[in-house]
Amino acid sequence: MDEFKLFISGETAKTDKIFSALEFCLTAVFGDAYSLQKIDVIKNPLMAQADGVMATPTLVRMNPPMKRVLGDFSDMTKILESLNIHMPLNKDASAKE
Amino acid sequence: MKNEKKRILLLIGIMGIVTLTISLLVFLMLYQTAFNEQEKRLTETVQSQARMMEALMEHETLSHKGDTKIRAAAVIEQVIEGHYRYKALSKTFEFTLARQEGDQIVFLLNHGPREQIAQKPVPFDSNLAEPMRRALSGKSGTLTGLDYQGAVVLAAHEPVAGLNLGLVAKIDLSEIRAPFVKAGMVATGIGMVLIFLGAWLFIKVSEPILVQLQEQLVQMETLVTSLQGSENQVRQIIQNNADAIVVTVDGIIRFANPAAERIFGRAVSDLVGKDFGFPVLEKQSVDIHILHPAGQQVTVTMRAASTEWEKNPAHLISLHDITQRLKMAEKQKKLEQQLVQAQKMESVGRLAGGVAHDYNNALTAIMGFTELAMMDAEPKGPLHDDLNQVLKAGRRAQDITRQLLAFARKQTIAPVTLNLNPTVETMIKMLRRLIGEDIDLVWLPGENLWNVKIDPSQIDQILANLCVNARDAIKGVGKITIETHTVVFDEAYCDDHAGFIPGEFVLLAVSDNGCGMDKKILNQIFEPFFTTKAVDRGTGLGLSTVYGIVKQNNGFINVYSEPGKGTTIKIYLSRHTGKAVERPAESMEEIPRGHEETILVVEDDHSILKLTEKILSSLGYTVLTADTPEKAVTLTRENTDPIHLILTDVIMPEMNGLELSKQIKLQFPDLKCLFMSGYTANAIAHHGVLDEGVHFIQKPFSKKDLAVMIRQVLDES
Repeated sequence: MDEFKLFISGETAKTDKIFSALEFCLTAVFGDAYSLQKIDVIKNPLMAQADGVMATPTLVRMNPPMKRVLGDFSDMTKILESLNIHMPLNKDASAKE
Repeated sequence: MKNEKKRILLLIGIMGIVTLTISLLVFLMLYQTAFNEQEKRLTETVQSQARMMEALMEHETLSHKGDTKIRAAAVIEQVIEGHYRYKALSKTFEFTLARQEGDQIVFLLNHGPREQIAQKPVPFDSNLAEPMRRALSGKSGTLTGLDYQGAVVLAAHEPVAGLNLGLVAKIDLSEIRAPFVKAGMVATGIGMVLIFLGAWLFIKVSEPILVQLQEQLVQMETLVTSLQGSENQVRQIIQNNADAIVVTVDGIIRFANPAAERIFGRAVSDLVGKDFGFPVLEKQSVDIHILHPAGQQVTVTMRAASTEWEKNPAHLISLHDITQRLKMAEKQKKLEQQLVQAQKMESVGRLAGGVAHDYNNALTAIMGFTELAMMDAEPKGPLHDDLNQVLKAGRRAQDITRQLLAFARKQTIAPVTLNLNPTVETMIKMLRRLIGEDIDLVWLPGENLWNVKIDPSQIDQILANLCVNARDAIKGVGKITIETHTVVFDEAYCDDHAGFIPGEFVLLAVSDNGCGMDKKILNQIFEPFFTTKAVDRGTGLGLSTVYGIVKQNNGFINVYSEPGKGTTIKIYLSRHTGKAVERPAESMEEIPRGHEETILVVEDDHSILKLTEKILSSLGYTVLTADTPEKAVTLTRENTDPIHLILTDVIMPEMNGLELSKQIKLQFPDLKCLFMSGYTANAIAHHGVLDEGVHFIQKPFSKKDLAVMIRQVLDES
C-alpha cells in the first residue's frame, strides 16, 4: 500500500483545499490502496524532524525510495508527476484546483 | 622574445652536444672494429710467417744435414728475400725479424714502406721494441706500445721456434685512427652546419607559428584571468547574497551558500546531503515555510530554475526571507484598521459633541423650569408627580449627553495626580451593589503602583461601565476581577504588538468569566450605540464612554475575549510623576444660599438666562442679566454697585465668556468668574482640560449644582 504524508504549517482553508485535492487525485490513481496523513508541523514539530522535512507544504511518498515534493500545490497533477505518479487521462482535468 | 632566443640557442647547443656524442660513439665503435681487424690481420701475418719459417727450417734440416746455424741463416735469407719482393701493405705497416744477441736485440729484417736502413740494435732492457722483446721472450700475442723507433703502434708478436727469432708485425696507431679522425671532423663539421642550418630554418619557419602561439597564449591567459574574475564575482555574489541559494540534485542539497545557514537554521555542512525535496512552481515564485530544527519557522519566497550540477540535471533554488515583511504588513493592516476605527469614532464623536451644546441648553431649561415648577406645585398632587417624571426623564437624557460628551472627549474634566488603588478602593462598595450578590467581585491592587493624572470621576465612570458590562456578560454566578499593575513597554514589544505604545503605564484591568465575544463584536464594541444587550438594558454608550475617557487621558485599551470563556479589558494610563492628592468626600450639605451678593448672568439662550435668574434670585442673590456680551459690558458701566460674580456662557456670538470676564474685571478687579457651557471650548480649556484657576459648571445643571458651585467660587479667597 502506498503511504503519503502531507506536511503543512497550520490548518487553513488553503491547506484544507490542498488536502482535499490530493485525496481526490490519489483515490483516482490508487483507489482505496493508499494512506494519506496530514501533519501540522506547528502542532507536531517532532514528526517533521523524524521524517527530515525541512519546509512546508511538502508531500512525502514514504514507500522506498522515499521521495518528497514541495512548493506550489495548485496543480496536483504536476505535484504527483514529480513523484512519478500519473493521473488517469480522464481525471486530469478535474485534478486542477 | 629574448628568453625565446636563449632557449633556441640552448636547444642548438644541446642538439650539437648530442650529435657530437652520437658521432663520437659511432666513430669509436667503427675505430674499435677497424682496430680489431688490424689486430687480427697482424696476428695472422706474424703467425703464418712464423709457421712458414719453422716449416722452412724443418725442411732445411731434412734436406741438408750439417751446421744448424748455416741452415738457419739460409732460411732467414730466404725469408728476407721473399719479403723484399713485395711492397709493404700500408704506409706504416712493418714486418720485423730480430734475434737476441747478448743483451741486444738485433734486427734482421725491417720490411715496411720506409727506405730500408739497417736498424741499429736496441738494448734488450730498454723501453723501446716492446713487441719484439716479448716475441724473443717466447710470448705470442698483440699489444699497443712503443716500437723500436719509439712510435706508438699496434703490434702482433710471435716467436719462431727452432731459429730463436722473434717476429713482429706492426702498424702505427695514428694510421688506424687517421680515417676516423678525418671522417669525424668532416661529419662533425657537416653536422654542426646542418644543426645551425636546421636551427635557422626552424627559427624562420617556427617564428610566425611561435608568435601566433604566443598571441594565443596571451589570449588564453586573458580569457582564463577573465573567467577567473567572473567566477570570483559569481562566487562573491552567491556567497554574499542575502537570499539562500541551494542547488539540489533529485531533491538532495548539493550546495548551499552562507545565507542558507540563517534561513534554514543549520550549518552549511549540515545542509549538504539533506533531502529538501523536488521543487514545483506554477508561477515564477511561491511562498513556503522553512522549518528550523529548533522549531521556529521562516516564511520565504522560493524561486527555482533548472541547471546542471556535476553533469547531473539539478535545480538552482533561491529562498528570499519575507518573514519580517509579512509581520510588517500584518502590523500595517492592523494599524490601518485601527486608524479607520479611530476615524469612525472621531467623526461620531464630533457629531455627538456638536449636538450636545444645543441639546444641553434645551435640557438645562427643561430640567430647571421643571424644578421651579415643582416648587410651586402641591408636593403630593398629580402635577408634582408628573413634573417629577419629567425631571427623571431629563436626568436620563442628561446621563446620555454626559456619556456622549465623554466619548467625544468634550467632557470637561479637572485631572489630578492620584493613585488608582485608593481611588478604586472607594468604588468597590458601590460596585458590589451594582453587580449584585451572585457575582463575586475580586479586587487585586498592585503593589507600589505609580501615580496617574486623571479626573477621579472618570475612574468612577470607567469602573461603573466596565463592571456593568461584565455583570451583563455573566449568566447566573460568576466572577469579576479588578486589578492594577505597573507595566513598561519597550520599542521592541510595541513593534510586535500593534496598538501598544512604548512607555511606563499603570494598568487597570477588569476581567469576567462571562460569555465573551467573537471577533466581529470585538471590532464594534467601542462604537457609540452599539450594544448586544436587550433594548431596555443598555444604551450602547458604556464602552464608548470608557474609550473617550482613556483617549482623553492619552491612554490606550486592549480587549482580550474568547466566546464562552470571558473578557478582560485592560486600560493603560500613562505614569505621572506628580504627588497624589486625597480625593475629597462627596458633599452632602444642603443647598447653600446667597448673602445678597450681586451676580451678573450672561447667556444668549433666553430660556436658560431666565431660568438661571430665577434660581439665583430664589437663593437670595441680586441678579443682573444680559443676553449678549455687549449688553453685559454696558450694564456694568451703568451699574455703580459692586458686582461680585459673573456667571457667563463660554460660547457666544460676539465675544466669548473669557474675553467678557477680562473686560469687566477692568472695572471690578475683585470680580469672580464662573463659566457654564454645554461643552468646553478652547477659550477656557485645552482638549477639554480646564485651564488652571478657571471655574466651570457643565450644562445641564440642577439648582443644587449651581448653588454649590456659586457659593464655592464666592467663598474662595
